[in-house]
Formats: sequence, C-alpha cells, structure tokens
Amino acid sequence: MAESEVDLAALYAAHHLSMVRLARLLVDDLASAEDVVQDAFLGLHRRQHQLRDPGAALGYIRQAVVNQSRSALRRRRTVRAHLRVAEPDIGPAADAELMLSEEHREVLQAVNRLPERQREVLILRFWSGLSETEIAETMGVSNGTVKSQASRAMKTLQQYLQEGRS
Amino acid sequence: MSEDLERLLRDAFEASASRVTPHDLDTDRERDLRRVLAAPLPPERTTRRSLYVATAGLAAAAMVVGAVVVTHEPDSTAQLAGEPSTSSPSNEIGLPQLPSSQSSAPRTAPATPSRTATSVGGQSRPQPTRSAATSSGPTREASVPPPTSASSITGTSRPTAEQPTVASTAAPGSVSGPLAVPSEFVAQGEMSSIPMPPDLTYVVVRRSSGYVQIRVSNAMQLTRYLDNNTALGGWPRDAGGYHSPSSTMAASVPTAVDSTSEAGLFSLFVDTTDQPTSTASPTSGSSPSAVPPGSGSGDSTATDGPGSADGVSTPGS
Repeated sequence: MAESEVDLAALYAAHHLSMVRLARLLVDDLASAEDVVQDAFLGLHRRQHQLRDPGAALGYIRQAVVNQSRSALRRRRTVRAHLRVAEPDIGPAADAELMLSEEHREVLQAVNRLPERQREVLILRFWSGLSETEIAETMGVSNGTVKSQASRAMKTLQQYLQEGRS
Repeated sequence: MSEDLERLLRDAFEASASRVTPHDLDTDRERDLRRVLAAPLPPERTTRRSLYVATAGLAAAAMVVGAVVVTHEPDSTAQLAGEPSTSSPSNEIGLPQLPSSQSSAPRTAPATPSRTATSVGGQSRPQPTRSAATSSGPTREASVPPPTSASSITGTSRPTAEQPTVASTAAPGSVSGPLAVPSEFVAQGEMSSIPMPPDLTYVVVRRSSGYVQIRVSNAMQLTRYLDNNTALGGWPRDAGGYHSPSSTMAASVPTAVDSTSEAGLFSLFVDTTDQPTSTASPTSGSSPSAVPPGSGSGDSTATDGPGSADGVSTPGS
C-alpha cells in the first residue's frame, strides 16, 4: 500500500460503530444507518486516490454519513408521500425508546421535530463533539450558518420542552 | 437554563446512541465490507482513468496546435472566385502585376505556370503558361516574343491565381495568362479576369477608366479561343464584338494589325449603346465602340485603339 493511501480496513474497524451510531441518530433507523455507513466507506474506497490528506479520511467519512443520511431521509419522505398505503412505515421501533428515561425521550422527540439542518447541527455538536468549524465543513455550510442554526435550534427546542411540560 | 439544556441533549444523545451495540449490527455485512475495503482498487478502474486523462490531454493538445496554426496563418485560404484582388491598385487595371524584382527587366528564368481561378463565364481550368508566340512583327514596344521550346514549360512552381505571368523571353511588358478586367466592370458584376489561351502573350497598349486594349501575339488564336470556349461566358457576338448581357462591358473581336503579322488588338470597353440588363440580349444593330469614355474619338472602330491610327500605342505614349 502506498504511503499516501488510507488504511480503510483499519479506519473501518476503529470508527464503524461510532459512525453507525451517528447515522442512527440522524435517520432514526438502524438498518438505514448501516446502509448509510456502508455507502460512505465504499465511496471513500472508490475515491481514495483523490484523497490528498489521509488524516482527513475520518472527516470525509463523517461528511458522507451526514449527506447520505440526508438523502435517506429525503427518499423516505418521498416514499411515504407516494406509497403511503403500500409502504410500511420506516422508523424507530415501537419499543425503541422504552429503555430511555422519560426526560431523554422527551428531549429526543423534541429534537426530531426540528428542521433537518438544525437537528444535524445539534447532533454533531452535542454528540459528536465537533467544533463550529468542523460542523461547517461536515455540513458544507459556513460557520455563521452553523451558529445561527444552533441558536435557533436551542431556542425552538426550549420552546418545545416548555410546551410539553405545561 | 441553556447549560441544562445542553447537558440534557448530550445525555439524551448518548443514551440513544449507546443502545446501538456491536451485537446489533449485521456481522455478515460488516465482514464483507471489511474484505472489500482491504482489497486494492480494481486495475481496470485505474486503466480507465488513465485513458480518460490521456484522451483529455490529446484533446487539449489538439486545441493548442489548432490555435497556434490559426494564429500564425490566419489568411491562408484561397481567394474567392470573382473577388477583386485587394492588392492591385485601381489605376493598375489592365496591367499585369509584376513582382518588384521583375518590374524593370524581363525574367530569364522559365515562366511559372499560372492557373486561372476565376474567369468570365465561370470557366475555370488550369492554364499552364508558355513563353511562346508563333511570330512576331518588327513593331515598337509591343513586340511579340519569339517562340520558345516546350521545354521551357515548368510545372513544379507554385501556381498563382489570377496573376498573369511574364513571358520569359518576350519583350518587356509581354505577359500571358488571364487578362484583368477593369474595375468598373467588376463593380457591375463581371468577373475579375478573362482567361486567355495558354500560348498567347499580350502587351497592354492602352488603359483608362473602363477601357483596356492589349496587343496579342496571335489574333486568330484569340478569336478561335473566344468563339470555341466560354471565356466570355457565352456573350452574344455580332459584327461589333461581344456584348455582356449583364453589364455595359463589351469586348472587341481580335483583329490583326496588318496582313503580314499574326499579332492583333483586343479591347475591353464600355458599350455605350447597351443598357445592362440581366436577360436582354444586345440588339443586333448595336455597334460597340472601342472608344474609352471621354476620349471623344467616336470614329474609331472596335479593333482600333483610341487615339492611334494603327491601334498600336504604348502606355504613356
């Protein structure tokens, strides 16, 4: 293997689970999350000769996971809009949140009501622990957009939680 | 409040994510994916990519070469048929264009074959120029060059379009090849030159606005050529000469200067009795005048040059 190439097998072994969890938070479905992560790694495998910096491979995978999750949600919405009768609902299992505390379940339900971009910002910031710059690179937006989306998301989320408690 | 919400979000995300354990994942898919990722890229993909790069490189190189060629030779295309030459000044109508090195003395090298790209009547065929004439009378400047052997014909020189060539052994000013048409007629739609017989040489003896008179080495040869070919585009002929149906241009019938010589005179002039129409043929009674406009000598015949009794005069005389 050339020195500039990425050891994708090692990268997969080290970050596969965390990427599936990230995708699971974004798409709210484990099977779809696994599909998303698989496509992300295969995409990097096809284009690894285009990757200038091997250290950026993890960022590339994360960005691919976010984009693929967005596409999966878009496809899911389209399927639900046109095949509402024939297509079974794709989403979290009925007992998916039974293991969670009431408080966490309430927060996650409020997060799921947020717009897509705001939800992505919150997940990347509070679960992945990325900085504003990293979130901006992952989502392909500016730092200002990340900041504004995060601010609106927090405000809306607070409003949802207050409404639920009252 | 905000810090509590952030902490709440972290805990909720962590609790939700931690429910996904390695046991929940599809192990078969995971194993297959690891094997695929560990394998190198298929060689044909790399080859195909190299092919794309090579093709793009060749296309770019071709475009660069084309741009360089166009830049360095922008006007390499041939002159359009019937298009007046922009390099010949208007006051030089009827005079053969000579290179600057040939303007003062005749060439001794074999004449180059000239090809007639355009001609009156649309006839276009290559006409190799020979520096030969059948005979010559002891006349003044318009002497006909002596005949030369056929070996003087050269076919390897670069053909020049619509440029009469200087007869190699003829007298100064004697040329062969197409005869340039006065610009007045070209402006009326006539072709820029009239093809001449290959063996014929001529000297321009007079020129003015809308008029050119040449002394040819063989009048009968030119007459046969004009009658048997479409040099003049099938112009109607009467006793006075040839009349263009589409312009005021007319041509005289080549006439021998005297009975002892084959040399003769030929003129292009304005047919004052004819109105340019596209379909009308000249009236039978119209007699073209060889008089150049403004000369005032109305009794001259078509074969006689204006202002000279024998029709032989030299430019500037």
